[in-house]
Order: sequence, then structure tokens, then C-alpha cells
Amino acid sequence: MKSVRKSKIWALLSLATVISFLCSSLLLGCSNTEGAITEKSAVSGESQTEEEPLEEAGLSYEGKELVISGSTTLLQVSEAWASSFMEKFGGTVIVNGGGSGGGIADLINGTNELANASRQIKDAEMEAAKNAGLDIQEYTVLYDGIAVIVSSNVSIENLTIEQLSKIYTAEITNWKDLGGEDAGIVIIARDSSSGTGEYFLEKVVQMDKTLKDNDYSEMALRLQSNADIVNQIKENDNAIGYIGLGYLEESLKTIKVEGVLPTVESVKDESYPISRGLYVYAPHKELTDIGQAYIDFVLGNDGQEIGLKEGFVPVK
Amino acid sequence: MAQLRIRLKKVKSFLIEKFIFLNGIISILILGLILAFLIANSIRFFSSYPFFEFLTGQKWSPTVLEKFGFVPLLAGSLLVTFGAIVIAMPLGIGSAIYIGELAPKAVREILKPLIEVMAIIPSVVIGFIGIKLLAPIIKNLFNLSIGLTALTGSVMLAFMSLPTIISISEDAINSVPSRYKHASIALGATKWETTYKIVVPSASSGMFAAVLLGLGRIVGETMTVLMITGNSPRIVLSWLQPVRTITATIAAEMGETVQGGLHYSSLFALGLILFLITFLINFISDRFINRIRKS
Repeated sequence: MKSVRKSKIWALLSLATVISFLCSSLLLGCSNTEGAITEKSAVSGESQTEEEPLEEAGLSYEGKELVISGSTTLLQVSEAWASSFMEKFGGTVIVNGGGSGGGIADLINGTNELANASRQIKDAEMEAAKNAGLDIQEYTVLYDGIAVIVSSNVSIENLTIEQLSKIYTAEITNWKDLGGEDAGIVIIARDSSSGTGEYFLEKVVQMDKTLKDNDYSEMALRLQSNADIVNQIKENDNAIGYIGLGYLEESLKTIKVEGVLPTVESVKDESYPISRGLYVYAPHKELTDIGQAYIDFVLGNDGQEIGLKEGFVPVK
Repeated sequence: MAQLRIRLKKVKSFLIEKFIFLNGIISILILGLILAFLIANSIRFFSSYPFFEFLTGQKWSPTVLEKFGFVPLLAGSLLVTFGAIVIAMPLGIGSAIYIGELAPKAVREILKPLIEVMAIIPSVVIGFIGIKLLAPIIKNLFNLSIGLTALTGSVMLAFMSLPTIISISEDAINSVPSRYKHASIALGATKWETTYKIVVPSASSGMFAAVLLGLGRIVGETMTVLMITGNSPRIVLSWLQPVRTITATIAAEMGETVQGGLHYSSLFALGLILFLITFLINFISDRFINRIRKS
């Protein structure tokens, strides 16, 4: 028995060694990969100079680095922006997730230069930034429409914001109260800390913040992603949920809100009521030239085109 | 020459000894730092939110009402954990008895590594299986409106804790002295009677420790429950309803909170409580395992 115990201690100790080695190699590895990316973009930068469209404009950020982190909603489109930006202007753009809150905290702590956010910065965060001596600038980079979807067996076509609010606070719990069949409503929402979930809460559940005590009903299922909601809506009957416009599929049954279907056009001309801005936050004074160039690129035609391709709505 | 070699050997063993000592100390140090970090952040929460209200609050609404009620989360965790252990305990101990005592050697040689492989399935994969396979089955079986329930979580977590329970119970069975068994058979007992009346009672405290370790695994599991229990923060007493566990709350809400804010530190308070629960469970099971070793 004693030998067993001894071998366990050995196993534990070797585990600890392996972990400490892993930690150090991880640290080293990070700097290595950064180097690799720089190299890669340097190569693409060279190929650009061969074509010489940029030499004339005098825009090249080779050897410069831009770190972006934040909202997972914006992650995919930011990566598309970053790779396109690097192809055009050189330089290294590193995009990380971490959530809107995480991105803004990184900005305040100075570990990134730009923060992606799917919600507007909160007062508490603004205050923290001020205390850290930062003057934060907000850029609206895209709009996102939030589509309300239901299971295919639900016969309802149109809902008002007020009806949606009553559904999500469990004031209305049966489809027959809305003119549908006699079946209980399965409410599906995003988690309280998702940017999408928070926006839907303020805009719909709280009726544009007029009913500030309204929260999602405790009966609501809270799922982690747009894809999860799509899955559950497809697989279950009598369910209602909401997703970003980019996740809308042909096969899903989309509800008209106040008589309007969510499309790129209806979000753009603001006739669709549940749409929000997506933001990039940057320090006003400390913004480097590569950071400024990235924001200009994102807000320019090419950047907005990429946003449209990823399922968002351009700001212009 | 020989003396030098001996001296070198001594230096070498000294260095290795110190190196290993350092590694051991580092892991303890890290554990201490984690605990200190949790406590420091939790103190910040409890200094601005009454402890009693946290412990007895029945509503978890951190962003809207700023109410941090612990009861729905605790109820969720207890419900899922209890369900899982009720499923896993008989299955786990049953298979341990089968593998340890009754199975032919060839079967045992196949089963043991298979069960160890079960332990290395990543929890996210288990969650995926839960969503895709188990949730529809549970939905249809109980005629529910949606399959993401506490029961779904319990079944998948039971599956996850089985390798722990089986392998430690089997160790306990194997460590029952063979002279007990021989004596029993010599007195005319059948193989089953020996297993049932001699081996199982002798190994019972080891089995108890195994179940507790499985329990620790279940309580701390995050990804799977986050994916398959639906996460509705309400107090329910039925396994056929969605629930939200402590772990899922922390994982789901950490990403988007204002860092340093009340909501942020409330998640650390949850983490501290979770840490204390798993620590207690592991501590008790460790005592039981040590007791077997001594005997």
C-alpha cells in the first residue's frame, strides 16, 4: 500500500513539473507566435509593394502592431477586417474575444488598443477609464438587427414589442392568448450578460427602458450563443427566441415585429424596431496611427462591405 | 576519482531533491494564491451586499434588479448533483463489483481500459452529446416542451463521474485481503455470498470515498451543465425543469460583466462557495481513503 502512495506522490510531483514547464513554454510560445504573424504580414506587405498600389498612398504599417479584444459578436467580422487590413496595409492586427466587458477592461488596463463591444460602455466603466487617465472615444462600426424567431409549428406571424415584452416576462404564457393554438410558450433568451441579451432586455422586455423593473422571466431558458438558440428553436415546438441578423436562415420562421420583417434594408432605414449599434472603443489621445488607420478602414467602403458579408448592416 | 564521483552524485541528488521540493511548493503556493484571490474579491462583494440577503435571496437578477440571491443557484446545483449521484452510485459500484470480483479475466482486461477512456472524453463533447442525443429523448419520453432539464444534466454528469467511482471502488475491492475470501469459501459460502457478505462490506469505506470523489467531480463540472440544463435561474423541485447551477452562472456571466463591479465580485463569491464545497467533499473522501490505507 505504501508503494502505491509513493507512486501517487511521484505522479503528482511530475504533474506539477509538467505544468510549470507548460506555463513557461506557453509564455515563450506567445512571443513566438506573434513573431510568426509579423513575418507573415511582412511577406504579404512585400507582395503588396510589388503591385505598388500603396506606395503611392504612402500607407504601410509594417512592423507595427494593433491589439483588439472584446465582444464575441464582433469577433468573426473583426478577424475578417484584420486579415483584409493586413493584406492591404501590412502590420500585425491581433483580434481576441473575451466579451464586451473584458475588452473594455483591457482597454482601461492598457492591454489592448481597441475594444470591440456589442453594447455601449457603462457609466462605471467610463468612470474607471477616467480614473486611469483615459479619454475614450466611441465609434459605431455596424448595426445589427435582432430577429425574433419561433418554432415552425407556431402560426403567429406578427407581434408587437408590447406582446414580446409580455411573453418574455411570462405575463402571457400561452400562444392562444396571442391568437395561436392552445400551447404553452417556451421562452428562450440569451444569458443576462450577453450583449445581445442585454440589448433585447432594454429595448423589448423593458420597452425601451420605460419599465425598468422588468427582467426576463425565471421560466426563460438562457442559452449561450445564437447557434444554440437556432438549434433549440428548430428542435422544439412552441418555442420563441431571438438571434442576430447574421444567423438568420431560410428554414427559420421569422416573426414580423410591429409589422416589419428584419432585413438589411429595414434595419438600415430604421423601420425595423429591434436593431442596435456595434461599437469599437478607442483611447482618444493615445490612438496610434495604425489604430486610426484600422478604424478608417473599418468605416470605409471595403470594411463596411465585409460587415455586410458577415451578416451585419453597414452604418452608411 | 571515486570520491569525486560520489561527491558529484551527492550534488546531483541534492539538486534533484530541491527541484522536486520547489515544484511541490509551487503547486501549494498557487493553490494558496487562488484561495486568497477568491477571498479578496468575495470580501469586496460582501462589504457592499448583505451576506444574509445573498444566502437567502430567492432571485438571481444581477443586471436588472441587482439582486444576488443564492438559493436558486444552490437549488439547481443540488438538484443536478443529487440526480447524478443517484444514477451513478448503483451503476458505478455495480460495475466495480463486477469488474473486481465476478468478471472473467478477459472481460476485465477489456473493460478496465475502456472505463479509463471514458474519463478522458472532454466535457464539451459530453455536453454536445447531451444536446443532440439525450435532450430529444428526454423531451419525448416525458412529453416535455423542451429537453434541456436538470435530469438531462444529471444523466450526463453521472456518465462523467462513472470512471472515477468505478476505478476507485475497484481499487477498494482489490485491496480486500484474499484470506477473507478464502476463509469464506472454505466455510462453504458461494462466490456471490462471499462477494456480497465479505468483500463489499470490507470495501465499503473505499466505495464511499469513491462516491464522494465522483460527487466532487459532479459539483465542479461546468461546461456540460452550461450546455444542457437550460440555465433558468428559478427554484424548482422537479428534475424535468430547466435549472441553473452555480458553475454555469459563473461561466456564463463572467465574460460581459463590468470588471471590478458588484456583479463581477458576486461571481467570485459564488466561486469561493463552490471551492469550499468541493474542498470539503475531497477532504472527507481523502480521510476515508487514508483510513483504508492504514488498515
